[in-house]
Amino acid sequence: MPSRLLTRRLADWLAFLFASAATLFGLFWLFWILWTTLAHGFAALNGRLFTEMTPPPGSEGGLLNAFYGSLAMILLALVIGTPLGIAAGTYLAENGRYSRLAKMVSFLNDVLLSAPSIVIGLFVYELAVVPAGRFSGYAGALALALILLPIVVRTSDEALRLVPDQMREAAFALGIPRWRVTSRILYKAAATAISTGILLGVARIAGETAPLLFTALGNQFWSAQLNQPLASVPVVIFQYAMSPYDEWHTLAWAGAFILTVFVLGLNLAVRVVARRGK
Amino acid sequence: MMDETAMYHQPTETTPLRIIPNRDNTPDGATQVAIRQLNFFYGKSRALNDVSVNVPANAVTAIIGPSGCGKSTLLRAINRIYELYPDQRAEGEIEIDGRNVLDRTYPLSDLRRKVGMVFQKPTPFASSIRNNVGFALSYYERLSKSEINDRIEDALKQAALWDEVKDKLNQSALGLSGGQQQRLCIARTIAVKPEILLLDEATSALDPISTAKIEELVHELRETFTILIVTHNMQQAARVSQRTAFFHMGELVEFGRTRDIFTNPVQQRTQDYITGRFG
Repeated sequence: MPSRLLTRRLADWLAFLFASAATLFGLFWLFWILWTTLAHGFAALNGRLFTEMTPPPGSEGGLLNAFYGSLAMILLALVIGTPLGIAAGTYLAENGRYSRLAKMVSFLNDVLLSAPSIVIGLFVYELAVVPAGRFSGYAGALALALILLPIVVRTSDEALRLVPDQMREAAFALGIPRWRVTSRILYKAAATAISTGILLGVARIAGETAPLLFTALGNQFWSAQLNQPLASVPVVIFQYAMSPYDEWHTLAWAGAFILTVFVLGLNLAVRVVARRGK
Repeated sequence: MMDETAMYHQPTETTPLRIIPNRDNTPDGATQVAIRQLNFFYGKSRALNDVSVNVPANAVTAIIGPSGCGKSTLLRAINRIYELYPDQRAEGEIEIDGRNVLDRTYPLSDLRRKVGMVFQKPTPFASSIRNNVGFALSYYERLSKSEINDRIEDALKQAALWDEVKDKLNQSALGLSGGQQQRLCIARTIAVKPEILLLDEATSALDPISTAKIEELVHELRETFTILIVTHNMQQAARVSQRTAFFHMGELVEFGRTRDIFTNPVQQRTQDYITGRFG
């Protein structure tokens, strides 16, 4: 029946059109964001961006202290959040798979996953900043770790559940105890998916501003010490973009550009990792 | 569900299968696995009903029957792999070397070292060929590096895989073909020197040539091991086994010499099954 064929062709063509339009729509914004940040921040995108500190109003400078602060806090958040997250995910997927406690933990983890980041910032402010009497990089890292943690828990839980039961049975059938099966076989089988989750988690916390406002605060000057207030890229962008100074605006744009490229790069890295794992 | 009796005696259009059993006539050896009044439950549903059977040592015992008859369940009870799932449970006795292995106090790693299992789908670990075979070995025994290498070589030779992999032991096991992967799983299992091998439809995911290789292998391995093989391929059961157990709906219908089961079964249900009237 030619009319049915025609309908199918039309439906196919329409679906293709919509799918392409949706893709273009998404890409359009991405490139616009990149273009805008690049155009506005272009003047500040030079060697000084990475070698000089954030400047006082009216003079030029770079974002070195902010890059350092962001990097240090992200790394520390990774050190705190990754082992805890993988351990909890392992409990949910393996040791506690059939227990009620695990179901409850899993639910609470989902709650934490969707908690507004500013709430986490306030929580860490109460927990770490008030008792210590000052803002610090440690507090900032803790807040970032609390955002990273539920992401790692969820992805490692899911990654381990994706390992087929047959693999588990085959390993247990050799008489190997659970901890060894998990550490030697299941982690290896789930490694790609777990590292994908961690990278996506890093991409998420790299851009977080709200949890750092009450914890790391920010720092106009060079400070390598994590027990002092610490600068970070998102907070500098926030502060400089709100300021009335043109040089600061340009630096904020440059910071935004670098941050966007960093997150984009992480997402591309995820794809490479995921493909290599196959 | 159809009425049970109606199902057996319904005439079918298919030509009955012609199955020629092997001429093996080994005498009754010692009993290796004594199963007594075994009942098995998935949650509330019973999958095995009062099964009692003596599995002879150093012979191949085939377990046949239609899907869902409990043949895999029997294997999964013997090495207690079902304990991974909290809603599954076994009642009764399975005696190996004079001890009831279903007893909670019987250590699982002792049992599973003694009873190896190979599954339907090949399950190589995401690691090198060497690590796959050495994995359990290095857990059970304190061996020097050269001893481990020797044992890995032995196991791979016993599994008839050595010649194909000896130059690439450090390559990923995932790069092997399906048939090679399955022989690797057999090598991995026999590397720890078990007494009993459970093969759960170990060839059903393989091509005919790989299947033939594994059948040949089973034939050789029976000198060293007591083998239980679950298969839905009756020709395979007839080719490789000396004893056959026919299961239907969770019951052991008939158990005996493979030759007798296939040429002169006592039970009508067995007769109907092996001639292809149902299942």
